[in-house]
Parts: sequence; structure tokens; C-alpha cells
Amino acid sequence: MEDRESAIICVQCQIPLKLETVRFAYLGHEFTQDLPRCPKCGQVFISEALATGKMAEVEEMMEEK
Amino acid sequence: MDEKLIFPSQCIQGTPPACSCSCPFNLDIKSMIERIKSGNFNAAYRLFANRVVFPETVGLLCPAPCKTACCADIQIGLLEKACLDLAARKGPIKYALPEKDQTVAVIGSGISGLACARQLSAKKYRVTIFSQEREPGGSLLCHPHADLIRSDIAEQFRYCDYHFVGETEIASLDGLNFDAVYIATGSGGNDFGLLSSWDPQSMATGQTGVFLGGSITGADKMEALSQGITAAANMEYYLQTGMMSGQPSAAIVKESLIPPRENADRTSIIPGNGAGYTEREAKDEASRCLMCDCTLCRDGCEYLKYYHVFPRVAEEKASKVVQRSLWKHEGAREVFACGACGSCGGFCPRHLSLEDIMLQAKADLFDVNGFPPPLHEYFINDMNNAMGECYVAKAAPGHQTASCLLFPGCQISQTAPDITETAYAYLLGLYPDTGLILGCCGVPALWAGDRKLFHETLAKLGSSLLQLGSPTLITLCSTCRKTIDRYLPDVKTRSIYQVLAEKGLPAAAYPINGRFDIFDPCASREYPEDQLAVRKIARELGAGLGVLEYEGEQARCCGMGGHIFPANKQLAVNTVKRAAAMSDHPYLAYCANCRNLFTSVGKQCRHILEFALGAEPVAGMPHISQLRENRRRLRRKLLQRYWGEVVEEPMETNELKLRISPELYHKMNWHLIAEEEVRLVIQNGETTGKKLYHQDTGLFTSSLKIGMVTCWVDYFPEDDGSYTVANVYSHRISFTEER
Repeated sequence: MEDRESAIICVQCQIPLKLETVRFAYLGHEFTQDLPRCPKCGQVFISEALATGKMAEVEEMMEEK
Repeated sequence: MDEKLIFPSQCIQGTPPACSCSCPFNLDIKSMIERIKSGNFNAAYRLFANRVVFPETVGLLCPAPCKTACCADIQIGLLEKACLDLAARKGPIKYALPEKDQTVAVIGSGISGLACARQLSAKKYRVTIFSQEREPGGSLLCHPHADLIRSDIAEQFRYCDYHFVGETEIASLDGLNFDAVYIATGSGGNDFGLLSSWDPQSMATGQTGVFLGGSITGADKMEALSQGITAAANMEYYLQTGMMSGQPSAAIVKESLIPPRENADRTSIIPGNGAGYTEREAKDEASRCLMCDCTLCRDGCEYLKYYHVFPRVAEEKASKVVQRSLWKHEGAREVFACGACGSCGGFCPRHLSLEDIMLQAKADLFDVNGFPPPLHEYFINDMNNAMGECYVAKAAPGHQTASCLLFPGCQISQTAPDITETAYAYLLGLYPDTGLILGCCGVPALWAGDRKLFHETLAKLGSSLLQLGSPTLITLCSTCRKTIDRYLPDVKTRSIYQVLAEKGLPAAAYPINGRFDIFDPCASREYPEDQLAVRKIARELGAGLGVLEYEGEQARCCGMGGHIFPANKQLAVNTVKRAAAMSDHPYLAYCANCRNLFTSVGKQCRHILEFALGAEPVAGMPHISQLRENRRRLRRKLLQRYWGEVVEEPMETNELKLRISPELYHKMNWHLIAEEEVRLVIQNGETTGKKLYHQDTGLFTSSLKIGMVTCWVDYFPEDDGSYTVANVYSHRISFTEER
């Protein structure tokens, strides 16, 4: 993911994404995570590895909470 | 124990097998053998000694009826001997219990009286043994190995205080001032007039506080000993509660409920020295034990196998999940991973099923928000589509009411629309006033635990049926039929398979060439007449039919039942793969879900109605966007053809053209992402400009939250204005772009 991050451009703002804190919410739980996002408009990128890996694990965990 | 639970009192799993039931002591032979198998002879000895009280004596005298009862001819007697020979720690246990004030008289010092006295004195009751003899032991002292017996008795009483009154005959109970009495006066001994009121289960007599057992009842030596042990347990219960009924758990069970294993290997290991096993020999012989139990439900059900539970535990767990669901959802996923297909009831010799228990648990969890909504979102949306924009309820053209009505169900209509079309044409040919409902029976809501939505769906169906003159519903799907029969009991139902078998096949039917095996859907268990009809049709069409391990009343789930897929993907895969592996031959299915699921894992499977109605063959596994489109198209086609209603097709001029590879379609199906959702994501990216560009790959990425799911698409535009979709993935956690 880190490899792709430096090469990801926000098309709207024409600037590269940078690691920033992003707020997440699921089934009433909230948490934060540092992810690549556009410093200007806030557009976020979530890679497939993250979505199907750690995020899927957290989803399952929260569905059991 | 929760009194509402069904399995603890009715399920036979875990009840004593034949060996234990043939044992006068109901010794837990399986547990003893487990310990021997792992080389733990001390633990095996302890289990044996605790149960039989005088282990050396039992080892010497027991004729081992267990050996005859064992289906694998395990040498249980020799294994007991191995415990006696090989255990390093054999001394009795010294219990640190307080002395009790209550007094017990034991009349008779044979093996039965001694067993009772040993057990109660070990619990620190004040025990007095009255005997006509000079020393305890009774007729056992005449045995050639009396010394061994004598030392066993002495050893087992090592930490027990009791008072022995020898050379004394008790002529009447009247003068005895004890809190409880055990009469064990031996064969032909004085029964004090109580034998006629003796209860062989509890050892109690008609006189309060007085128990009786041993050879006086006609018991042999081992039974006499066992009766002394049972009497002691029930005398203690009496001393504590004043009740003479005894504890049910102390009663000896003589009949096993466990079905015997057939064709077991009966080759026992013979001790090399001809007398007793070495440690290795004992372990090997113990390893031959088949651990007899009733496991039919778990043998057939992947759910029970996956979670390593029997229904008794699954029921208890579900009950606990519901109880604590107000504050946590732990275990909810496990409840929703059960398909509630009821197959376990088909496998069970007592027809005990988890189906209603799990459906209730799902509904209870749903009611208290203990249900993770993403687990069923896709299927509920699909149902709402079938009952909403795609719903059709019509009398036949030119009719106001119907005597019968085709209810194909939501799945076949979208998998194989031509089957619905040909079925309707066929039925109209037979019964010109056949009505039609394109909709859903509501089972997705039932499986999701959403009773409100389920009953709303049923109410909509019920109201349509009433308007159409309460026709007989002709179903293509067993699950629809089962759901309607259970929850709309006033509606008459019949399957199209019965109609075809009875009225004959249409001219368009085409032959089934070669060998197929019929895969009965889980709900067909309730309709043996449908199962027969399907076989009749298949044979008429020329199919060579085999027999599957699980079929007929033991029909099992294909993996789709209960929509368990999002709750436990691996379990769904295990289920379909195992169902597919029952035969190398292609399957004939009569459920669209079975057909689709088998096809998705590469198993050749055809719907029998393709042949029987002469419908277009369905190729491969349709992707989920096709399924939705099929349903819309079928509705448009039928409304136009039979009722002359023109339904305008959606404007497609502005619709983005997508290029999606078959592999990616497969992946999208797996993740329940439809093409139209991918289109929405790209459209959103393109119209708002909110998209990302990857300099390394030249791909664009866009995302959109649709319902509870955020869908991500990697894509690039082609010169012709279309878009090639390179990858699709999704997640349920949502994020905010606000800082």
C-alpha cells in the first residue's frame, strides 16, 4: 500500500495523497487510522489489501461486540 | 439447566453406549479407554476404582459382559486389568470432609453391604456394620484368592472409620436407632418383610429410611456390589433431603440408546504373554475403540462439524447469545451461520432439529439489534426487489379469479426465466384460469430474523391470493412451498413436479442423456411425494439415476439455506463442496439455488425443469447483475405477452458501457457486488471528478457507499467511451472525509 500511496493523485485537486488520520465508524463504534488522503479535499484511498485484510477482521470483530 | 432447552432431555448423543450399559456399574468405559489410549494409566485406574469401589475384587470377579456387548470386541476386561497392573498410584483418596452426625446401619457384611458402608463412611457418615460373621467379606472369603479380596477391602477402607459389630443377628429393625438402614443380608437372608416393596432402581423399600440390595434380591456378585454403591448414593440423598425417590443419575441404565456400529473390525489384540497387556498392547487395544455415540447429525451437517458442536451445545450457545445480546453480540455470527435447514432433524433417529430453535434465536437477536445487518443486506434487498418493483399478481388473461396459480419463486425467475415462462404456458394449457405471482415467499426475511418484514411479505402474498379467489399455489421451489405451508396454512400448495408426473410432460420436453444423480433440496424432505415425482420425471426423460449418500428424508443443504454465506464464507464453501463431492456424476437439481451454487464451484448441475418443460438450458453461473436483469426482463415479457401491458425498458442511452472479465464477474459474485453497483461507482467518479489516479498503473480508483457497503473500483477509460474494470472490492466499515 505504501508503495502505491506516493504515486496516487487526487484527480480533483491534482495533488498527491498523504498519510493523514481518517475517522471510521461501524455499528455504533468509532475509531481512527492513518491512511492516504488528499490534503486538500480529504478524499481517502483504501487499498484492497487493507479492505479485505485488517478491515475485514475489524468488521467481524465489531459484528461480534 | 434451562428448562426451555429441548436437546438436553431428548438428544441421545452422549448417553451410555452398549458397553457401559452392559456393565453392572455403568462404568464410563469410553473415558477409561481414552485415558489408556493416551497412556495415562493412573487416571484410567482412578476412574475405574472410583466407580467400582473395590477395583482388585472387580478385576478378579467381573465376567466382563461389556466385551460381548462391544461391536469391535475390545478386550475391556484386559484393559481394566492393565489399569490395575500398570497404574503407579493406586491408593484410595482421603477426602477432607467434616464428620457428620447422621448414623447409618448396614445389615450384612458381604460385598454389597461393604460397598455401601465404604461409600458412606468415606463421606464421613457414622456407619455401623452388623454381621453374623466374625470378619467382613461374606461369601467372598471362600474364594481361592480371598487374600487379594481381603487386602482390597482393607485398602479401600484405609481412610474410612466404621464400627463393625460381628457375630450378631438382627432379627428386627424396630430396635435399630439409625437415620438410615441398608439391608444386604445375602441370598436367602432376612428381608424384614420389605423385599416386596423394594424398588430396583433406587434400592429404596416401602419403609422410610430403609434401603435394600445385594444377593438377597437375586443379584449376582457384581450386581450386588453395584447395588450397594447405588444404595449409598440414594441413602445420602435421603439423609440430605428426606426423599426416598433416589437420584435419577444414580440409577443403572441397562439399555443403550446409541445405534450399534455395523461392520466394525473385531480383531482384538492378544496379550503377548498370554495373561495381561503390556503398556503398548493396552494402548493399541484402546486405540481400536470406535467411541460409539450417536453422531448422525454431525456426520451429515457441516455447521455442526465446523463449530465442533452437537446440537445440544449449539442450542445452549444460541440461548446464551440471545440472553446476553442486549449488551454484546458475541456469538451472533455463529447463530446466523446455521442455515436452519433442518437437515439435522432428517439425520436424527428421534427427528430432533435445530431449525426452529435457530430461527427463533435469529428473530430474538434481530429484535434486540443483536443482529449484524450486513449479514443479510444483499438478500433482503433482493427480496424487496422481487416483492417491490418486480412484483406481479395476475389472474389468467380474461379471468378475474384463478383455481390454481403459478408461484415460481424469486430465484428460478432470475436464474432461468425461460423455465418460468414455459411453466406458465404449460399450466395454462392444462388449466386455462391459471394465475401468476412473481414474487418471493419471504424466506430471506425469516432467515435474517426479521419477522416483521417476513409477515409483511406474507401479508402481501396472502392479500393477492385472496383477491385471486384463493387458488392452489403451484410451486417450483420446495423452500417456497414449505414456507407457505408453514406460515400461510390456509393456502393449498402443490408442486409442479407432481403436476408433471401426473398430467404428463409437454411435447417440448427433451431427453436427459446419460447418468445423473438427483440432489434433493433440503426443504424437499417435507415432500417425499415431490421427491418421487422428480425421479419419475427424470426416468421418463431417460436419465440413468444413481443414489446419493444423503437424499430423500436425509436430504442435506447445498450451502445456500439460511443465507449463511456472509456470516461464514468458509462454512458455506465447505457445505457446497461436500454436497458436490457425494458423486462424480452431474447432478439434477430442482432448486435454483442448489443449481447455481453447484455450478459456481464447478460441479455440473442442471435444473430438471430445463428438460421437463423444454426450457432453454441455463449456461454456467449467471452473475448477480444478470440475475436482476433476468427478473426485470421476465416481468416485462410476461406482462406484455399475456396481459398486453407494455412496460418501458429503462433508458440505456446514457448508461456507461463496462468491460468486465469473466474472472472479475466471478469475484464480484463472490463478494455479492453487482455490475450496476460498479457502474454507479464509476459514474459517480466520472461525473463528480472525485477519483484517484495511480501513476504507476495508469488506473483510476473511485468509491461509493451503497447501502452498508462501500464499493471500490479500479478502472480505466477506453477510446470508444467504455470503461474497462480492472478490479472491484468492498468493505462495510464506513469512513468520513471530514476532518
